[in-house]
Amino acid sequence: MTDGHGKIADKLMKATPDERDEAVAIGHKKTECFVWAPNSGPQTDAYRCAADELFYGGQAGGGKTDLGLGLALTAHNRSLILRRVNKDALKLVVR
Amino acid sequence: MPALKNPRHEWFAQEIARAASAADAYKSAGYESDGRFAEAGAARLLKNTDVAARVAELKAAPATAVATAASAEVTVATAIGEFEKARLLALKKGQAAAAVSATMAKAKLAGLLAEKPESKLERPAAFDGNYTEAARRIAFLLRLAEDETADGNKR
Repeated sequence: MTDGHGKIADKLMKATPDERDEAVAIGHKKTECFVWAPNSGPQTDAYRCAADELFYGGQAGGGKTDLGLGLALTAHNRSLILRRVNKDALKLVVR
Repeated sequence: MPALKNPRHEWFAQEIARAASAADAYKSAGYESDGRFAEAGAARLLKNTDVAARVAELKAAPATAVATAASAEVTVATAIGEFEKARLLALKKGQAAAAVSATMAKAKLAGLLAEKPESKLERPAAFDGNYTEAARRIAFLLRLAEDETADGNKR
């Protein structure tokens, strides 16, 4: 099981500047093709899930919208994202 | 007022007293920020009462003292000696990080450390700050590698 991004961020903060720069640069270089990357944990699990139907819930700020947008941007061929209240959908564009 | 306990704060105060720009002083004190982040950090440090008092004291120091310091001969040997004093002081105070910095500075002066090649990977601006974005990407990479390994083991 790999460390979550919080632990990795802590390790980066504790590393020497040279080590940190190198790790960050490698991380960027390997992921520069990604417009977005999921948080470690449930968001990554959901991102990597190969199911046809996925139910992803949770409280506000849990990363549900980001997951939908991220999948639409990086993994899915066609996406339809709906909000119960249409005005709320405008906020997705801002994100 | 003695030198500030935090060596970065002390260095920052000395740079400011030498009329360096706040952002430059902040960076030269060893903080890894650029542009407006450096300016913000510098502004924050300048609000620190100890740092502000130290800057005021350094600026008010007699001109003769400054002239004497400027004319003092600085050689590799004297610099190494000063770093050694700093290292011993840091060890005495239990400041391991400061001691390591002093040791590294000595090693660099003595030519024991080779400079890094120019082609060092650049850190993109998007990763400045608290490294959360970088950490997210690294964590994601590690997860992809882990999944690939797991898939490989299944086959």
